[in-house]
Amino acid sequence: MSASDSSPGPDLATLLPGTLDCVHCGLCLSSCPTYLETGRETSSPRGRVYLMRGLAEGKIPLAGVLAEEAHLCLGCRACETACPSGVPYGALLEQTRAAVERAGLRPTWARRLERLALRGIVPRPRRLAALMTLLAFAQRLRLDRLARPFLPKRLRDAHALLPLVPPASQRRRLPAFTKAEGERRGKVVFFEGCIMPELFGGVNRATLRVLVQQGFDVLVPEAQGCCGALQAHSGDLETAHELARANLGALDPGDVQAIIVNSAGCGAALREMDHWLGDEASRVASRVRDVCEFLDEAGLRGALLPVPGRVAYDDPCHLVHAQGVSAAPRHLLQAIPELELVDHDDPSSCCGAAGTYNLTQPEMSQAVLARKLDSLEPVDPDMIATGNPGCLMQLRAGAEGRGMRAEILHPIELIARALPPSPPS
Amino acid sequence: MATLPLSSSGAPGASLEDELRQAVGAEQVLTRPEDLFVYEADGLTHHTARPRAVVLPRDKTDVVQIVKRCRAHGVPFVPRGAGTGLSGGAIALDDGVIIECARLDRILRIAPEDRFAVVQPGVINADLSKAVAHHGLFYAPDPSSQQACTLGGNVAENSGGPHTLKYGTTTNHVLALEMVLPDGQLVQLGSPTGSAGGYDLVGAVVGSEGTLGIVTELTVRLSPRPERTETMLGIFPDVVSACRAVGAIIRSGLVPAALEIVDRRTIEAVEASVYAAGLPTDAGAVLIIELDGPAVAVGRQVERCQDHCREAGASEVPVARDEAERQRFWRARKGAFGAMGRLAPDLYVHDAVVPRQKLPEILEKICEIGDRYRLRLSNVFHAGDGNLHPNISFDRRDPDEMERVLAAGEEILRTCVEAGGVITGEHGVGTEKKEYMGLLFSEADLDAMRKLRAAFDPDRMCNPGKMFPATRFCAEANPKARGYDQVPFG
Amino acid sequence: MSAGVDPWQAPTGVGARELRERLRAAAGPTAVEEIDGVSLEGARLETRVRPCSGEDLAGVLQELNTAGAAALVRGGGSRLGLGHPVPRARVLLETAGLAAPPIVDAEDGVAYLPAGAALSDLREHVRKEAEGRWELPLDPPGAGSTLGGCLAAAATGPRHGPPRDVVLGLDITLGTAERTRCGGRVVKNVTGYDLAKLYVGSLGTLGVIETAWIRLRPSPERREVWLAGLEDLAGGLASSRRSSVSAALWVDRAGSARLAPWLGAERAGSLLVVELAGDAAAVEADGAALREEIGAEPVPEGEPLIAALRDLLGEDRGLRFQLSSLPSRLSATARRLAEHGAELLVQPARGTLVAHFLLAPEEGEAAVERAFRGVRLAAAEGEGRWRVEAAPLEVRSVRDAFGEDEALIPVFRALKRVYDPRGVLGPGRQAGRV
Repeated sequence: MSASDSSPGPDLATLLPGTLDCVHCGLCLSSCPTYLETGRETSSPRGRVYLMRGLAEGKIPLAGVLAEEAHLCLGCRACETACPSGVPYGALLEQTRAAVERAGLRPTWARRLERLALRGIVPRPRRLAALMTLLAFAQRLRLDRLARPFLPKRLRDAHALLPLVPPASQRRRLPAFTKAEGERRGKVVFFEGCIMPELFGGVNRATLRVLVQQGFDVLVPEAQGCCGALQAHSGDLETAHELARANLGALDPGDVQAIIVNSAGCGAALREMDHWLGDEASRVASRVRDVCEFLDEAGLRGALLPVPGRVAYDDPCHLVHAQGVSAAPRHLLQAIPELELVDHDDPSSCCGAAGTYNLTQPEMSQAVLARKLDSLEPVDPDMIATGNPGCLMQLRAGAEGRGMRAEILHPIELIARALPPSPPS
Repeated sequence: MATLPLSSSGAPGASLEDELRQAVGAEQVLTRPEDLFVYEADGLTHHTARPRAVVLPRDKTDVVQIVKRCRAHGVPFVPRGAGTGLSGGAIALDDGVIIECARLDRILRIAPEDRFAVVQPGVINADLSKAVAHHGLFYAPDPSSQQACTLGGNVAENSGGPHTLKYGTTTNHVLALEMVLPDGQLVQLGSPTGSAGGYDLVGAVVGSEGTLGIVTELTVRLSPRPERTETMLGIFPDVVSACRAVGAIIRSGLVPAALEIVDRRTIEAVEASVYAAGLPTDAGAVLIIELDGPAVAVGRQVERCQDHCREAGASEVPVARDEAERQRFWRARKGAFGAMGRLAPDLYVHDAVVPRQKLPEILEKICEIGDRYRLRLSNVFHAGDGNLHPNISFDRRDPDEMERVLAAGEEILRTCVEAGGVITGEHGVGTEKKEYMGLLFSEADLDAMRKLRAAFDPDRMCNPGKMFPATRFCAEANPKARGYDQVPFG
Repeated sequence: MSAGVDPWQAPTGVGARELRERLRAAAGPTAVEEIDGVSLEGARLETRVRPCSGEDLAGVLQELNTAGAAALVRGGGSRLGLGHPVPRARVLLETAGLAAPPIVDAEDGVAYLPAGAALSDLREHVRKEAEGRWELPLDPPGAGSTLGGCLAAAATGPRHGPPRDVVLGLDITLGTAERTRCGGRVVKNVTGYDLAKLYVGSLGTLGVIETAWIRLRPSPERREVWLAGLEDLAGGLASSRRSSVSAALWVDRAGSARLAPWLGAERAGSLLVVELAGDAAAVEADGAALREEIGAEPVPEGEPLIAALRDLLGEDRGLRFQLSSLPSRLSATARRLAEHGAELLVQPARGTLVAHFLLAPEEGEAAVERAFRGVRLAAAEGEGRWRVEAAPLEVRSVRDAFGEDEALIPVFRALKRVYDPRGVLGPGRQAGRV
């Protein structure tokens, strides 16, 4: 077999050590959404690692099956929490995607779309805000619906996922400093994210509200920017590293207890900054905490008000698999009076959102989403809680499509609902 | 059985691949070199063979079609589940076609009152227990790979697992099978209530390593969940004393649900993994004992087992505090094989059985063999069944080490056979051990097996090259062929 | 299967006298006896041979192959009524001589036992050798039952599961006269095909078992028999499934009348007899539950009652069938059988029914037809299977004794042809008359 068309560059040799951790036991298979969907070994973590090793050893080319699989993979990393041998799958995937990108092996439309979005818009707050304003305007006038039939299919699918953009008043950034209420328990930095303030400003405000009410001073450094996760997932490691470096300074004012993140995807990327930037980033990376994780560790103080209803908690992949956080959000929700946490099958499996995946691999994304909805539907919850913007969008669109009545929320919103009203300031 | 002629191809000149695409859909036929590359191995990485094509049937009619087309072209075929097998059983020799059953993954019927379920072969073992849990039932055979392995694969290998000590292996839980015979005929073997008294074909097919046909539906027994389950850890200074405790427990007539030994090397690897369960890393060996049954009986049995452990030298015998801790113990035990990947790129999981009372002496010999060949050998095994799994960590890229691994493996097998044991307890023979069959069986014994094969698959189309030695050997030249139970023959 | 000369019908020039001579040469002069004229299982038998070792057995089978002479294989003879007649048999091959000393490994709980020995003797031997710690988990009806016969017929009694689950390995001489073994002494083994499963229940049509490795069962700490009047079978299912139940049998009104001598008090209606065995505390708890659930009472002397039930299961009166049924449909299955005139013994937890049909001579063929019809309907009702356990020769000569799936008969035939190509072992006995 010729591997000359894309011979592994010097950095691909770095794939090898990671792939050697795999002893081919196969325990990862059933955790992999794309394997469950296709039944193909090639579309399983073990198969992909085998392909990567084959590439690193010069047995197979990059172009073809491996390049396809690198992007058919959701990057949910459920295989990592199933892997007894500790294969660093996420890192291997990132490197492979970067190689695919360098070799120019992706379909051009997918690259263009992602480049535009991920280099040109998402990391640039002004452009993003401007785009959202435009979109909000279009949505209000229903121009988007009129335009829909004329959009290419992929954009139509993307449109279906897009929630109603909130009014400008709700898309404001949070204040740079908010003082703790009551007895002060500490000081934290809050990472706002790029998409979150635009589409999920309510979640950010709820996060701030809970942190402050629980006695934490909250800093929101203005210089913070996009975390780089989506860029890294799409193979653009260069941009991802740049963005991470910029955040390094912004997020480290020195004396805070933790850097709080409420978007699982961003949290995972920030936590693993040191993988990209080396030891200089470990100070920041080691202090990153998911908001639920942080609150569960600190312990909620004061009485909570009842939030009646049956809630299904669905784990975002980048929270449970990449950050190992699964008990904390459940603990917090269970602490809310009259809130009944109900079980559904496979809460830790991917919903198919996976960053920009629902745009680039719409069919697989829909199939994975269908499995998720199949497990949620029979439980018929009043609310579904999940802590990641992509998942929130995906599940909202999916639940609506099936006519499910559940409200889709970030768990912190439920906690905010359970807080007593703030004292007059 | 009516057999199709071997060469009665449909459209003249059409390739098998084209016919398969036509029969089951182009998407379900994989033929690109890299596709085939990942199918070159199952859980046993040092035996590889690339298939000619991989086909993914979506229902039984697809399977019938695939078998008939392969047959018409004289191309052998091999069923494959999740590819977690450890004897090379799911690789395709002789340029064969792999029939990947992973998409046949539906649970077709659950009959809680009658305690059985009908499933397709691609259903994952653990998923069945999960699906029937709310009826208070479970599917008893629980191989360590149960979170990934398929029930079809379990049937092929007659898979065991930690709980076979009390519950038996797959063969004790399969009531009926629907299968495509190697000539393409679809037949029903057995029934949910047992057979009518003709030959026990279900019994013959379970454990036949995919050489007698392709199973398309299984009817399996479901067991009632015991009223109470207790799991404890005997913490021992070394493996041999843990084995002595196992002997004492068996001798006393207690039948625990499981008796599993994990040695120090394995504990260290597992505790460094996502399956860490808080096993003591300073122990020489841990004996996991699980007792289940009526609540009134289990408590007293726990005490008896603890006594046996202490008498055999256990420093302490803590009982799992709650269900969560119990589950952690089992996840650690079952993740042990994979966790060994932390020590070296490859792992050879051996599988042999000895009479239980011989465990202490055999374990000592096995460790000596590992040391002599300068190998990293660890032990994690189903002690209650005498089912050893000496695991050798190695790197297949190092030819010298590979050679030592194979030589040590053979010596281990010989040692077990001399002690009255056998060369595989649950992984099967496959390609891995076919040349060692002569350690155990005479030519006539093997011929008796070849007869069964001949009755089902006279043309050897179904998973050829497995189980039987490639070369016939002479029993006289192999005096140990009869030595496996030290009982004179007649 | 290709048509052609049926080897079973191949003529043989070997006369009775010559065959006896050859058999004497193979198995020793005292092992062979002229029994000319004895009729058994539709065959006119001319010679009885009783080999005393595996080697002799192989020699005998070799001679039968050479001569193309078929044999009727007999252990204790208690289950000869099972399967189809064997009119072609000339030789009665008795296994009682295959009686090498048994080996009991009381440490490991396994035993190596000769097929020709009576189960009652083996049971006693195991008990003694293991000092009461282990028991032999086989208890088919029939006083003279041998181990080999029990395995060949896959025969079960009130206690313990099917023999297939306790056979670890076999020494068996195939119809081709090859001495082979499968399995072994260890309790877990997947080395090669699980041929023991194929041989157990094959009615001796593939080979003759010489010795078997059997997995023993720990003797229970306590054993108790409980009794309850129970009209509706369905009401006893949950009780029969309690964890320490070692035997559970429901007997109808007719059966309970026959049990009267062992029941102490007079019992008028149908009964559920439950034996509990195992951990003392568990037995006690289950006994209390039986009292609660179905108003059961303990029986002071349980063992004789179980023995009486075992005899009842194996009683040869008219036609005897064994059926299986889904447990949830047992009542319906039983009702269907009763409507057709069957007396019933049911093992609810196992989902098996033994149906006796008494044949009134004046009814003749009509009674037989009614019984078979009832059995077929009942089996359909319970998603079950059936086989004839005992029936007069003339019934089995003309009727299929097994409710096997027709599609499997070619597979059975293929098996017979590879293991016994000359048809020397009970040709025609199995399902499909293979």
